[in-house]
Amino acid sequence: MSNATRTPKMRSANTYWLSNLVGQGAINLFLLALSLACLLPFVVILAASFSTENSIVNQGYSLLPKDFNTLAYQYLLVDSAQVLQSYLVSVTITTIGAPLGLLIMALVAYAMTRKHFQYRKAVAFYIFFTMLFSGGLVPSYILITQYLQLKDTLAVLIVPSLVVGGWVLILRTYFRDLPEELLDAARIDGSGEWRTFFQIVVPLSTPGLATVGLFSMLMYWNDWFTSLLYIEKTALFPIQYLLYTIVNNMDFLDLLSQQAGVRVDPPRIPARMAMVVLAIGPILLAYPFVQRYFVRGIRVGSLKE
Amino acid sequence: MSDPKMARISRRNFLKWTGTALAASGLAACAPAAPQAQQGAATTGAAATDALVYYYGTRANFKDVAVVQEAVSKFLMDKIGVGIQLNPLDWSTYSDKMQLKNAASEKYDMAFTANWTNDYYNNVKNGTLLDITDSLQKLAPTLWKDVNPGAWDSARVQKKVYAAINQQTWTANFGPRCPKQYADKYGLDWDKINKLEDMEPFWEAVKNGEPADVKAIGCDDKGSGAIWGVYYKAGVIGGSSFGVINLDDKDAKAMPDWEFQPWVDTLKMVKKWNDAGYYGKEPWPAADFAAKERSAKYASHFHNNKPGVEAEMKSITSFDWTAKILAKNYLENGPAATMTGVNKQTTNADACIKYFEQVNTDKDLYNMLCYGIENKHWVWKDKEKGVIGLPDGVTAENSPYNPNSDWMFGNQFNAYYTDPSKVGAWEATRKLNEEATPSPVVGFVFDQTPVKTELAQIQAISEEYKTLGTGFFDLDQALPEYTKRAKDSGADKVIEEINKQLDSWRASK
Repeated sequence: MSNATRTPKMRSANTYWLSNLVGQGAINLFLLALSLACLLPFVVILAASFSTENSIVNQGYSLLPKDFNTLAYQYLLVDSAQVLQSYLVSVTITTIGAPLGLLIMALVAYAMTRKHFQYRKAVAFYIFFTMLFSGGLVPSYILITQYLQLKDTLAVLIVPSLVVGGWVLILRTYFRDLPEELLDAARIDGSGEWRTFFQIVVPLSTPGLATVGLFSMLMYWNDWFTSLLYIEKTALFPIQYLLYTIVNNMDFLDLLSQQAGVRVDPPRIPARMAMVVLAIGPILLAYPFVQRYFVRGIRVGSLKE
Repeated sequence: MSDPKMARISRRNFLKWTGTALAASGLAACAPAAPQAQQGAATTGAAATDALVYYYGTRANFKDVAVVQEAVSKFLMDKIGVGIQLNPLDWSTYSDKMQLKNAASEKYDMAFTANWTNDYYNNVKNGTLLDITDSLQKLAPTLWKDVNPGAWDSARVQKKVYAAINQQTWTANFGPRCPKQYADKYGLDWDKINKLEDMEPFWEAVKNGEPADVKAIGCDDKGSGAIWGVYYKAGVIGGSSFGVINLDDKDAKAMPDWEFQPWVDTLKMVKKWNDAGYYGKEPWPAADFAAKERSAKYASHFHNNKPGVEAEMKSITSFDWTAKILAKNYLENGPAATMTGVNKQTTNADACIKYFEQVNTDKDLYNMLCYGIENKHWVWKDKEKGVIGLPDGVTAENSPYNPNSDWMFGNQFNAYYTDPSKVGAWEATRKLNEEATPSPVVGFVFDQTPVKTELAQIQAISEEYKTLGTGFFDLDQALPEYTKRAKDSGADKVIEEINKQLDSWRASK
């Protein structure tokens, strides 16, 4: 990388080779340590999810499961039909919500950057306003349950989070950086607004779109709060909410043990860890998929200059 | 070279995908939403007349709720002419969901309400619950007479009752419980134990005879293992962590716990035990306590030893237990722990009260809610004694209907026993309830609003001194420190406010 700046006169080939090795080695070591720091917690979680609670409490966490067993998973997956159903709900809202939300947010953001759009300031203010103020929990609840009648529907898990103000502004920044001349050229060549947007603006903004798309996907996948407010039918529980209730009910049972007659005794800590493993699984696939767009986006940007 | 080509393809694809996704999402999002919304509106509308909409907590969502709902509705139709719509909500989210419903004035008929979830006193204050004092006496006379007047008093706010009480164990039943293996090994004889100090020789023997990781007295870092207020006759008042009253004094005034000599004496006694090593080197983390208990890592623990507790502990830990109650029983706010209230939005209040009468007096109906349908969710093990069990092949985990919370629905003393060793426990519990001495402040509800900030601050300070009650502090230093910090945060003002409200409450009685 720094070959060009060093002259062969100043250092012999031998020392150069050596210092390069040391430098490379240091960087590699650093990156190795960094990846381990990211990876090890997951290994610990995975190991703990296969351990017994007693071994965790008495001997602590470790990198390998102690008293290997699958009790925690059996406990969480006792109703496997429900777990599958919940995965389906989560996948559905993520695959519908994220692209749809991205499309709407991109269209809004793009319109806000077009200089000949008369109300762009008003729209920008409207979007910005929602970032500062919200209607509050109870009014939103009344709106959604009583006026929109969205309680216990799939739509309530998708619609309220389609557009996020902050992300619209991120996209606007991306679109604003596109050279005006490019869009003018497209228009002169006879491209309409739709074609300009989808064939010129979108391909040139993939990093921004990928970022927001990933955010949106993660938001839909991780969202349990919306379900807490609006979902009572178990058939519509997303996976995160299902796991949340299973694990929380476990804690609650302890509190209730005073009154409840016979207690069901769940493996608390391993089940918590198993929940993490089950919850992160599928969304991991989103990262490599989206990463493609980051890389290409950077290249497109460099060619443009 | 291949790049632009790829880009073109993906651009085209992107358009295609977007189009498909848009069409699909349009169909998926709109199509199911519309009929469901209508359906929702229809059920809400119909529920007001046909079925009582009933919300309560549950430990899991059971498949067969609909089956039970149908059976219960059929039963109720014959008796009182309405059906029921069961809406179990997870415990973890119950309180939050109910608060939202109440704030939004959502329509429903009945809900579980208590002093620990879906807060009863808040609901009364916010006008969520209907005053049912008169209608209970008129339409649910058996229930009204079955619950003793002292208990109704604890559900009263400004002389009015806003919820029906589900009878269960109300008293603290405080005392030590021990894994039987240690009691036998070190010759613990309950006949000789009349106060906690009498346990000292036993603890000493355990400490000397067992490995270091077995505590003579189990304790955790959240204060479990401390001696409960009832033991030294301190009653809770005002929902604060530090205000106490003398339970034996009819005209008791609230005072901070550091001025209550029996508490200070208790702390000294506990400190002595801790110095002797009975509590071990350090308290366990609260999260580990249950696991430690299951592996018998303590020889005794202070807790609520209600009738049948030995069988219950055995079912949790799978070894034998022995226990004794060592404190006088008082009736404090126990009854307010399990109640069912009627929502003000209901159009069917009378039917709700009639339902309370049915569910608290009719064993068949009540046990249907608690355990499900006979031969499907449970079978008789011993019909004469009222003992039931799970059908073959059904376990507590995979049962399609097993809420395991009989106190949720009504009078627990009407429940079938799930364990032969518990037979007779209900009668014994009822006796304890009835013999309990009412606390001098039963029914007094402290309005925290004027001192909310002070209470929150003192609460946070008390949290830091949680293990004061298990002797893990240098008492001579920690107690004055705690006193000073609490006083600086306005403890005197809080006590003054409690006593002011207490006086006007007494005057109005």
